[in-house]
Amino acid sequence: MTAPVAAPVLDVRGLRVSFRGFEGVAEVLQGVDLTVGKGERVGLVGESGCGKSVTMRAIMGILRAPPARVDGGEIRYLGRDVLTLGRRERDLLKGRDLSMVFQDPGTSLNPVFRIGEQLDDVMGWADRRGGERTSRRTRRGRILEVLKQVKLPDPALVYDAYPMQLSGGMRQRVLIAMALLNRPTLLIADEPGTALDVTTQDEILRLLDALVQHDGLSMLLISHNLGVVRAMTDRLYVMYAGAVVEEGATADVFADPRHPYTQALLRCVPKLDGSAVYAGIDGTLPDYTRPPGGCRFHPRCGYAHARCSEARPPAFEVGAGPVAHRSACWLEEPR
Amino acid sequence: MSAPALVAHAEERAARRTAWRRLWYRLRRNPSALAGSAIVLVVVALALLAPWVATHPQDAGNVVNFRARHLPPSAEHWFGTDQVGRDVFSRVVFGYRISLLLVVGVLGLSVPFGVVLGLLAGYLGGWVETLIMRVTDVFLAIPALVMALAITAALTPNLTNAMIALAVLWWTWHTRLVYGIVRSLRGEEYVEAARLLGARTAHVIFRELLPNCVSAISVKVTLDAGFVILIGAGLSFLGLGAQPPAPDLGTMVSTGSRYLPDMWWQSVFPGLAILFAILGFNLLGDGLRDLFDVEVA
Amino acid sequence: MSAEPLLRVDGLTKHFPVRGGPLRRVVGHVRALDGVSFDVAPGETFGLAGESGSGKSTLARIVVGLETASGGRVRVGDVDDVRGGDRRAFGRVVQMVFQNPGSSLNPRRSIQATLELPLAIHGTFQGPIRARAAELLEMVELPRSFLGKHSHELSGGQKQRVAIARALAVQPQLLVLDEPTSALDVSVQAKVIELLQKLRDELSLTYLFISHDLSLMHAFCDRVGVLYLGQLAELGRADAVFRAPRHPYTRGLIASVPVVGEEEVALKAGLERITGEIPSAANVPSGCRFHTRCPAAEERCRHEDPEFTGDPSEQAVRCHVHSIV
Repeated sequence: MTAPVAAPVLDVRGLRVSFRGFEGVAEVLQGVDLTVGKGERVGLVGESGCGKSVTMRAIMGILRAPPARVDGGEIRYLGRDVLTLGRRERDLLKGRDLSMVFQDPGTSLNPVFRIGEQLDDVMGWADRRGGERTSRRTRRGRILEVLKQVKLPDPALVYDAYPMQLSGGMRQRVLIAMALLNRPTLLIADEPGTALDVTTQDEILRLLDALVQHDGLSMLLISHNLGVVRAMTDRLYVMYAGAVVEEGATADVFADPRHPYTQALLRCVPKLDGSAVYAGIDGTLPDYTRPPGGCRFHPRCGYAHARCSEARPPAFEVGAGPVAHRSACWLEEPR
Repeated sequence: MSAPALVAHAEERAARRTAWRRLWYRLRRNPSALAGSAIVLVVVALALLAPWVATHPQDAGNVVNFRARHLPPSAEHWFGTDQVGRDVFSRVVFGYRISLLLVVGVLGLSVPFGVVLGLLAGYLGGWVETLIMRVTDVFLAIPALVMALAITAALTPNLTNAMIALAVLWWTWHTRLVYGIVRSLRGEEYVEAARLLGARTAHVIFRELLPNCVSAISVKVTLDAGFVILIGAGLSFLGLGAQPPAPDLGTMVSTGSRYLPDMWWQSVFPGLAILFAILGFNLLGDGLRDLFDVEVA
Repeated sequence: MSAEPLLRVDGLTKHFPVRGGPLRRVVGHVRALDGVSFDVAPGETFGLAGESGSGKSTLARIVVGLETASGGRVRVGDVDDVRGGDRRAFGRVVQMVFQNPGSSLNPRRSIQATLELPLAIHGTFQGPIRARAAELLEMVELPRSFLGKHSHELSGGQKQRVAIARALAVQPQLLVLDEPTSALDVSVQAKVIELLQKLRDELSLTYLFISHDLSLMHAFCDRVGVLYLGQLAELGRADAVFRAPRHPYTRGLIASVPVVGEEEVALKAGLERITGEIPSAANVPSGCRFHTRCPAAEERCRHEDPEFTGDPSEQAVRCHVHSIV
């Protein structure tokens, strides 16, 4: 198990993001804390609308502003605050150290350019930003090497192929290759394989995992699928309505989920042994422009008491293991 | 009405009010739609209220006032006077009536026709689709202005015939537009659900599909309005539209151009009026396109 | 299963012609379905699993009559095939709930208009239609104030509830559920599935449930069939198939399901994974069509198409190697 190390690769502190629209100001992220240690595989899990994508986009610096606005907090990448960096420096970071595996193999590649050209562009841009001048031939060598790494059967053929000539699984491999091309330190994987069939997804996830472990990369995996997160990560964060409600070692959280939301969510997941109890969670995600006071989960929570609607619970330490296990719930308040 | 029904009714009204407020919110953030609608409103208001807005309403007709001919713009004649002493401003205001009449006539005749054909071709498919779309292709291959010139020249040149000439060609664009939308909506699950429930073809076409084409059609119609004004002005500039002494903007530009550059106001102001109206419709059309988030060729 | 089946699918085949060349001649066929047979008893929930390209959606569309089969028969109750028959009579027996909450409701029509359409068409309901529409909403646990709303004001789960209410408006016996919850979050999915279970019990409905989510299927279905490239590979009682899968494809599918609990991991233990992707249905492999990806394939699998062995009401499998004797 990987313990969080002294100098994390990614350190997000108190990140607050809001959106402005017709309904008013929507406070979407209300102080997200999140770290990814060196060589650590971290999951960010939650249902649609919980803020995991906004968090990811803020980290990648691709929030559309307006309507989005970062109201506070910091995003430290290898010790430097990304939010205060200049555009040039941030682009440099994005092209090289910070890299992303996109979700949809159907639309993330441009259909009119060959795979090789698209990978070459990605690599060429990063090289140029880094002040390097590389030839197309040297880049081709690296590209073929990475295509082989992602276990594409015939790299040279794939290099010259158009996206439409590849299957969904192969395109997803190309997207992974694209993310690995510039030897990143941190890989952000946004729902990888979600659009694929379960057998293909399984293969892709195993490949991604092997590559990450082999190169000692750090990975932030964003997913709505608890099973995927369980298989792929060392540590995880559970988000609800713009806040992290629970964090801890993946094994600990699955063995002993502490936050009422995590517990309810796990109960909703259909089980392969057919034992699922269809409890569901009553109610819906709150309206971000008029969120409930205190803990944002309290209107849907079976354990809610007066306190929950008055004040927002901080993250209380709930575990005894080597990795911090915290739950943002008043039930865990030490007395 | 029962109490729950009253509540539901009140909720519906509140929802509608919110919808209008949301539209206004988005409109405010869309300067081109806002400017466009302001211009279009002004043009329409001028046309409707022409007899009251015009400073010399009698000049819209066949009036000759030789003592006042070729007067430059002044407090009495804002846009000056023309070669027979008529007030140019008043004629411009009445000219908008003719332009808008042409727009309403051309689009009123062609759009419903084109839309229905597009709906039929897109939904029914098969030989109906082939027939309608091939005919459309043939019509699309004919340059509009040339065809309109030919038709109006063959018939008597007047406003009605110009209208007919343009309408004969105009429907094709709407057929194309609606056909494309329907083709993509045909497989939508609500369309299939309606079929499964046993809905008649007419229901599917007019109640399920047509409402979903309305925003694209209205954007297209708005953009078309400017275009019709332009082509209409072109026709009358060539003497094939509304005939003198009717206060037609194109005719005014044409006649006024004889006295350029000394008596520039006689052609420049009607020209600017045409420009103003077209600009308004185009801005509004572009703005609506963004507002409705539709694609219109 | 002694009762007369409500749905009988018999040797169902669907071939789409592939056209090519300048003259658009038929150069081949996509064999979307290739001789699929199964029965569903009244009150039963039958699950049809398979990856994209397996033909499961095509099957659903043929059962409801949105597409016509190239061969074989579909019989629902005593209505035989929709072809040439009365569309409306057929619609009263079988309805469908679609996959995508985003497109299942017309964005330009109110919920009331949506629900009143089937009532007006079939005219089976006596009394005020609006009251009945409100009743349908209550059945799917939505407040009657939703009548005036439009689809964009509804969440994904609420849209699917309305779609269920619309399908139930004509009081069908068989409901085809084409991945009704695959676009929903798990917490919402759980509520919708709970509702479907309640409706099944209250209205004694029969479900044909199409899904790629095996875990969901195990809990929700009485019997399941696993489709691969237009053919059933395995068929049987859900519990039997999931606890002791026989066909290497079923085993591979189950092995690749992401799970959240230790009990589930145990179920996956000892199952062989499969690799590669489903071949194109335009170019179906010879012999057993799964042999190209099968970890247990033998020589005869390349040439001989296996027959079903076993009892479809318990467990039946179409495999040379793992046949039931």
